Amino acid sequence: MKDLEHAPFDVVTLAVPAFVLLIVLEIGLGWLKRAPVRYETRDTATSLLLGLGSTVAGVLTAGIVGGATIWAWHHRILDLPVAGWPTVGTWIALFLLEDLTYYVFHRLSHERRFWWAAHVNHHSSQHYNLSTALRQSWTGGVNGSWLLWLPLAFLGFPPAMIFVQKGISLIYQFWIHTEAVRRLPAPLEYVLNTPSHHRVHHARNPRYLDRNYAGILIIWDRMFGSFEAERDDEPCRYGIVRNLGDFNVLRAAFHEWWAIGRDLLAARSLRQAVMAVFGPPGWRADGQGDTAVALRARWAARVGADPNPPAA
Amino acid sequence: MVPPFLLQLGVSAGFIVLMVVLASVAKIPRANPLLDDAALRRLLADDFPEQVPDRTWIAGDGQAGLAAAGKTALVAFRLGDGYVTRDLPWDDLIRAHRTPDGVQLLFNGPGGGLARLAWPGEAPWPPERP
Repeated sequence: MKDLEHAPFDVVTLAVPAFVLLIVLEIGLGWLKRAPVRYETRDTATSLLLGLGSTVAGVLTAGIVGGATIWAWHHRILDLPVAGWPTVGTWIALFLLEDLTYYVFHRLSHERRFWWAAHVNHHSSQHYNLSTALRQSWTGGVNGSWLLWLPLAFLGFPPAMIFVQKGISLIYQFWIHTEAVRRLPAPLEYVLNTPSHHRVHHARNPRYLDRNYAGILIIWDRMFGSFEAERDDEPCRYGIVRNLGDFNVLRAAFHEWWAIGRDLLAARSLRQAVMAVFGPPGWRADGQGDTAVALRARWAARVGADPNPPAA
Repeated sequence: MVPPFLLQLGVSAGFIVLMVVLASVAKIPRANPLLDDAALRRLLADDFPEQVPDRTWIAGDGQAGLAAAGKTALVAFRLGDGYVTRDLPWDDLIRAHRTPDGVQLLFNGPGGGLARLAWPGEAPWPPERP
């Protein structure tokens, strides 16, 4: 029973040497001019320090997250096979459901400010390289987004399997943060989240805003209308709508929480206060805010495009 | 005995130093030339598409630029190998800090930023608009 509660190892920790080697390789490719790789020293330092800080923050909240997941599993509604060949079916089901959970989490993290505040630091670099992948959240544990994974435990997936699958998803998403890979073969681009799809996700061009939330499988974006393909005639401009003015790690980690606090103090009604915290990022009481929906609509009106084209 | 987590943290910090040094030595930043009028207008059109500059000024060193768009001032300044833009009421330009090299505009909001504009000492600040 205990084996099913606690993963015997942390797959992400095991992958750290591979992360380092791949970053060194990517820098090498850029240095040799074999791939369009760009690194800025201070940007890289900020990204990597955010990654280091997120591991510390993760340890501080790991007890609560782990305890809650184990508690949920003790109250599960199904006893899923966890021994022998039937375990394969459990893993496949978990793979799909965890990836769907990640999609929901990621979409929430972009479309509602309380969760965006914890996620925005991942997007605050104007660069897109493997170091950007490590620009992880410091406050993701305190905004309760981990609660989204509890239904998996209630359903009957053992906590150890859930944590391993979450780790696999995180590791998969590392390598797609690169400009060194142009496009994969079409069948893979159709099913998987790829460097091309994820470049779109990190872009701040209005056409690309709040698109491609996928973890491993891009099919969720295709199903739920949030897919946008990378276009050769519109290169990605990376970062956030209003880029940060320096490389300060603390600013990168906390600036949106600061902005929420400022907007809460300026709120003139309960509705304004609620929207300042839980509204879409960029929301303003006067209706003139730069939300992703508004930015895309204004851009579409300017260029005569469809702001929400049908998914390819 | 060092707790495993602290050991892991220390090793990670060592790798971070290694990777930052490599990124620095490789010298592979984005090619981002100094600003000219066209580049400034392109930057501002990306970030403030609804604002049409009436007039632009490029800082003496090409590392920053200023535009007037109605009652709004649009500022672009270099950060690393990229540029950052900010908007503010034109009248607020008066609070810029004059230095021997030019003017400095500090943005105190959550996004922060310090725009340094190389600006001739004899030239008026804020600049005169048409």
